[in-house]
Amino acid sequence: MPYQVDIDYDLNPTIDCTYMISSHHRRTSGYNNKSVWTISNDEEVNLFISSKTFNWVEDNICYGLKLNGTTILVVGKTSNNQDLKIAKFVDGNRNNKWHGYPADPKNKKQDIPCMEILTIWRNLNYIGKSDVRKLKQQISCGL
Amino acid sequence: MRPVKITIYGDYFDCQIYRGRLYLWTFDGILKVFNWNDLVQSFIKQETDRIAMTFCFMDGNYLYKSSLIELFNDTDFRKLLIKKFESVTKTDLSVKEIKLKKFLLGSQDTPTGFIPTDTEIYSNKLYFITDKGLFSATAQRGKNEKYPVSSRHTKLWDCSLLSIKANKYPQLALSGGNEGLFELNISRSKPSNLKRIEQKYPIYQVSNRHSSFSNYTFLSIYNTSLIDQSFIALFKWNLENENLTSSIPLRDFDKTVDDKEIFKTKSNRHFVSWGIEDKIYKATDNGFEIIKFNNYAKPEKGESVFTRLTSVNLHPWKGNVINGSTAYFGNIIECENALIVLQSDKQSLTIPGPITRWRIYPRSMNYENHLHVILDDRIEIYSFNHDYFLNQEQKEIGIQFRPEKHRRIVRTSYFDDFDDNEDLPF
Repeated sequence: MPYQVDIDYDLNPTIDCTYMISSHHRRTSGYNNKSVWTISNDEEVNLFISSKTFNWVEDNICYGLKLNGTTILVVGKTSNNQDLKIAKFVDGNRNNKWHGYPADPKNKKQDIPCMEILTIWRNLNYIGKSDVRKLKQQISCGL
Repeated sequence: MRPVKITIYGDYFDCQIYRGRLYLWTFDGILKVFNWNDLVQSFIKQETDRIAMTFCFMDGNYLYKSSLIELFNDTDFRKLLIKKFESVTKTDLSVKEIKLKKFLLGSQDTPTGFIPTDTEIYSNKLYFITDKGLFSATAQRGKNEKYPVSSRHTKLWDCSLLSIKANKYPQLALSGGNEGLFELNISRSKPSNLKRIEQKYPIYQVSNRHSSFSNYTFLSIYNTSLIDQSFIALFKWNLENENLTSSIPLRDFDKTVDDKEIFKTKSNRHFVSWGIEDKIYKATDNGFEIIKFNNYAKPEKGESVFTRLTSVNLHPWKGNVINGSTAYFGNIIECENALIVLQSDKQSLTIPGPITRWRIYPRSMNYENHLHVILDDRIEIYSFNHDYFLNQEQKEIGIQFRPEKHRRIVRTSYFDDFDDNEDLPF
């Protein structure tokens, strides 16, 4: 049965936490300038599970990439219809309840992944060093 | 004239060059510091190349001396010098990092353990930004010290910044993205009309408008935003402040002037512009426009602060323009797919990407003719040597060299003796 929005799903035993698909990021048009997912609900949850499993986590924030081999796929769009490729998941209240949204690092500083995560992605050849520098300085790089 | 290039193979993320030392950050978080002068001299295989290699890589300032202008007017002397530069362009100056061990002054974990987003070295201090904020650490330490850069860093501010840029005076412009433009002002002259936002260290907010990167145009700061309007934050000397308790004048904020006003454009379309010293540039679809910035203009005498100089048309950029800066030797424009150098002699050089990082050092005393470009598997250190032969007042591209730049310093040339302990204004 496909995942539904605004419901807490216990992801045990796969991973020890709950996840909720936020309807704010599922509207057909941008809501209060929020980004929207273009992948399905199930893909969003699976993306979170894989990102958590890979330990692409810093503190209470987890980042994810949807991959086809080493090619990074689009996961969402900005309210201006720009493609977004980095997923961001947060445990805002630090109670192991997570939700996520497509990150917009070019326009929102808080959506820039930390250097440790970018280093991991570069060492896995998902992104280049040039992408790392551009992401950290909010320069357009197609991510 | 083509530039001369030294290539060092390795996996790097950032670089700096300062007072005879080359700083290289590897992507796995190690900071390595090399004896630059010895490294350059190791490339000199014949004595006839020594002069050219010295001017290329160790003393880019020497040939700007006004006393040499008469020599450059002599065609034979000019041809001889150009021939020497061209001779070294034909030499292979590349080395693998493993062969650099004998030049290594020290190797250490990068301070704080995080690869920095941006760095600057000023007055023997390394300033750097990470996810955790703005830091400083003592650099250029003696050869008997364990580490060339002190492992005891100081946290100056916890704001997450995008880039930093040092002035030739002790000020650092801090670009904070949507948090705005700030300045770390460690000079004796503090502004009387800017909000100080950090009490322990002199950090002031210049503007709350978006700042991607910035650079100094004399007293002022040109702020570039890649998503919003760019502007120049004008500063002026305030000699009339009633609170003036010493003879040190105050460098006060005056006003901001938007790029649309500078370039007199009515279109709402976003464009990238940048400024440094006396010139401001606007990237267009197929080139750029150049505005001369006159810091000393007297409007009451009909002089203009901003004067349009010219437009330069080029082949279509290699993708959108995403960054730009200017050195004495020309303009450096970073596009999505390549780095383009438009030299002050109107020749151009294209360096294909992906570009990890690039740096120029126009405020340096010896390396103002350098361009450092970090690529995937190497760093390429370019030396441009055509600008010495141009009329500085008439050239349209590149910063105009003014001899008074060096009136305050003791040492002006690699050929002079110097004391490592002597305080330098830069």
